[in-house]
Amino acid sequence: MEQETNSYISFMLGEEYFAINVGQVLNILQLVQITKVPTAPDYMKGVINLRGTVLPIIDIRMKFGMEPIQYKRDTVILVLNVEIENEVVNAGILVDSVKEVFELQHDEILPPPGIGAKYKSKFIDGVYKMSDEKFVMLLDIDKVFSSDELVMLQDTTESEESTQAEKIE
Amino acid sequence: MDNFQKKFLEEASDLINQLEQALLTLEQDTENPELVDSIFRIMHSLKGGGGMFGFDNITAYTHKLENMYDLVRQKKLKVSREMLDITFDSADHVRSMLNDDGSKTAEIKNNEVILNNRIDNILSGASSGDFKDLKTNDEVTGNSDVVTYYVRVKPYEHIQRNGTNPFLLIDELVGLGKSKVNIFYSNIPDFENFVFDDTYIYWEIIIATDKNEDAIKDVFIFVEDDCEVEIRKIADRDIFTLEGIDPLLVCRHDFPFDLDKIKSLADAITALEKAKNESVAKPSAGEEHIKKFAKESSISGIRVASEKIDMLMNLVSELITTQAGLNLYADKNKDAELTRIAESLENISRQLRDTAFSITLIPIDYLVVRFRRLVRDLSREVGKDITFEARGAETELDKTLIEGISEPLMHILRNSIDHGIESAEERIKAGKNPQGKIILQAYYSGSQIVIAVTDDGAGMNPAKIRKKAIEKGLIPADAQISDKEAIDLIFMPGFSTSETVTNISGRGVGMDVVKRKVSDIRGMVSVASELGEGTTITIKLPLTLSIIDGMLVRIEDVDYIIPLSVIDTIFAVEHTKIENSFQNIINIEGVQYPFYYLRNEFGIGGEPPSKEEIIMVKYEDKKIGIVVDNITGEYQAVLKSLGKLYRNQDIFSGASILGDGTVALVLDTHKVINKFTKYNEL
Repeated sequence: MEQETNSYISFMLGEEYFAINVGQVLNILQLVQITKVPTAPDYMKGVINLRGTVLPIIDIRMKFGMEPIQYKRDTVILVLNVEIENEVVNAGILVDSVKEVFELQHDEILPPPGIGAKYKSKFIDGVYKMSDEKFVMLLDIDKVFSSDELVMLQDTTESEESTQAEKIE
Repeated sequence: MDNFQKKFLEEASDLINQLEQALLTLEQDTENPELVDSIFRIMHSLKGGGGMFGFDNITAYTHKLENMYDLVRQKKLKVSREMLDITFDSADHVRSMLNDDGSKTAEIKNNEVILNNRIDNILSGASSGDFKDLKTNDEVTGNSDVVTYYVRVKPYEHIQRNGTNPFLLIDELVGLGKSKVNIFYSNIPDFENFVFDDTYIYWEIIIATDKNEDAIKDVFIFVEDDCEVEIRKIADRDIFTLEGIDPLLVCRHDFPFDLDKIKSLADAITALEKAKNESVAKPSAGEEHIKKFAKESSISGIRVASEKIDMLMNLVSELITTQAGLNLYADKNKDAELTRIAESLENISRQLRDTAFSITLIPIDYLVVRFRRLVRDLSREVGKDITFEARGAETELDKTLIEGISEPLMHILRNSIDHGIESAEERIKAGKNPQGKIILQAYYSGSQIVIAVTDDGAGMNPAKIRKKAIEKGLIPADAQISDKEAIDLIFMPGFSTSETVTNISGRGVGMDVVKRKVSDIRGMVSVASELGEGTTITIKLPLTLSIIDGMLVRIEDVDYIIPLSVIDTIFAVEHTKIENSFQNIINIEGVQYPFYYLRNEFGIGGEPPSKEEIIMVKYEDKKIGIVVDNITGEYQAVLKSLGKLYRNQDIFSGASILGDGTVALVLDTHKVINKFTKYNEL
């Protein structure tokens, strides 16, 4: 992974700032029509056509237990390179808006928030304090996508049913 | 390694495959000279190529093998089991020499010593063949200069008195070539007149040799005064290789050879061959499979890197997507000329698609050679006598399907050999042919390819399976399951009934792996077994993996594609009729059909249209309705994977990008029906 670059791209989910290392971001897309895939968990919004390939779209807000995303003028899709079970795949996440690209030094990263924090700290590599005193959470996007975490989410009822049905077969 | 060497390696592995194929055929028909010739040719190509590209070890080794087959060609050796074994092992040996990166050189060397020894044994055993005359030295060359002579040796009665043993003379004579010897006792007198030291017998010899007449005369040079020798040339060729000559060369004492008949046969065949060579060489009346083999080795295609084919397929996919966009645009613009162009482009791209697709097809025969080898080797290893028969080996499969199906089939065959077919004693006890049989059958069935592996073995015992499944905790002890359901339990992970774990099968990974591998390539596997009669395992595969002809339909705001191949009929129905139906059964034109209302099953909200479409799809032997909002039309769908994140949504076999750039989902109706049937029954 070319993750070693120190450039991050920041975006907003609701009122919170998050950032992902630019090494994992392939593209930023305007919102297009998303084809919903029935029987998939709700946070899996569907698929879009990305220059001839089929790209899955995830509502990352729902993954973090927020309200489902409302499509607005600023809503964009970040196309990411993520590693799932040792395989690099492309996936898009929906974010409320994209902010800026910034550089940071390694020693500027603060440890992730501890117990009592709003978000599962295992998704978060660290926290960075911006010049305007706002905090940005640096996401470990591979962990967000790792399949264990998918199961932990509350919206997986349907996929559980489907795996059950498979077992009975 | 330079490019030429790489090319040679590719060619060599092709040659070895051909060699195995020829050997397997030869095993069935050991007397066939054409097969021996083609084996000889393959060895020769290997030898030549090896020498040219610096694989001297291969050259040296194949030279030895070539010698062995040369003797067979000259009828000095008969094709024997050991010889076939050696050649099979040699194929493996050459393969490992080709693949050797230096790490196994010692092992290969040792192996070669052993093989060389085995070959030498065969070569030295050559003289103990049917003919007494065989020579192993290299003086004996091909047929080209061989002449057949008739020699009559009549020693005078006194010949033994000066120490000459006439038998040694005959031995020396037959050492010159291939021969048949008749001995005549008719001159032996009555006992009263019998003189102990006198010689009464005489000989007639037919000999084919590359030596000239003088060499024959030389044999008798010191006994010129002690016997009568008559030498006559019969034919300018080796008559022993002639078809139909054998009855004329039967050795019976006191029975002279019918020289006239032999001569006329030799002349006739020579004339015939000459005529044949002058006209276009016609295939002889050999068996079908030999003809096919010869054909295959003569008509060869061109070698194309598989990446290029993948690239071509991708481009064709793109073209079809773009062409769909053009169609859409033409429809919108109501321009007659544009519509005409779009239509003709559609026609061409459809043909292009079919042609490009057919390039990726490989006959299943490609695998059958390997399977034959597997059955042959494994059945010997477990000490069972098993024949393998492949039917429909010309059935063509997509390249990726061939790759995907090879391992599961291998596993199924192993199971049949190891667990399915009983030992010869058991089979005799059960009143069966002691020789077991495995049949692999491949054929097209609608939009599917069916591959069935049948053995005539012991079959599966549902009671035993049930017991095992309970022991392993796969099903509850009180489970009520039918025999069919019990047999299906073999597909469950961790199920293996073999009492002894062998190194062939029964490692605990069994049919569940087969099932998973087959579903990886969107196939299905099923089993039917009759206790004592045998087992059939059937794999059904989709015809193609990449492009399908589909029907584009719509529910609410999402497009779906249903493969045309599964669609039987389509009816329009009032929504109220669906709403009023009971138990998902609808009556259309007097027939009751079960149906699935996808809007509900998929949990799609919104207001359904007042008139909907019900598509009858084939499901096993039934027709089942699938209700959608409306039908857009036929569509050529380029199948794209939905990706890893959607792997649980296996009711969709993939997605396809429509002309307007949006994504449509391709329904696997079989899985849709399976899923919602189970779901409703829960």
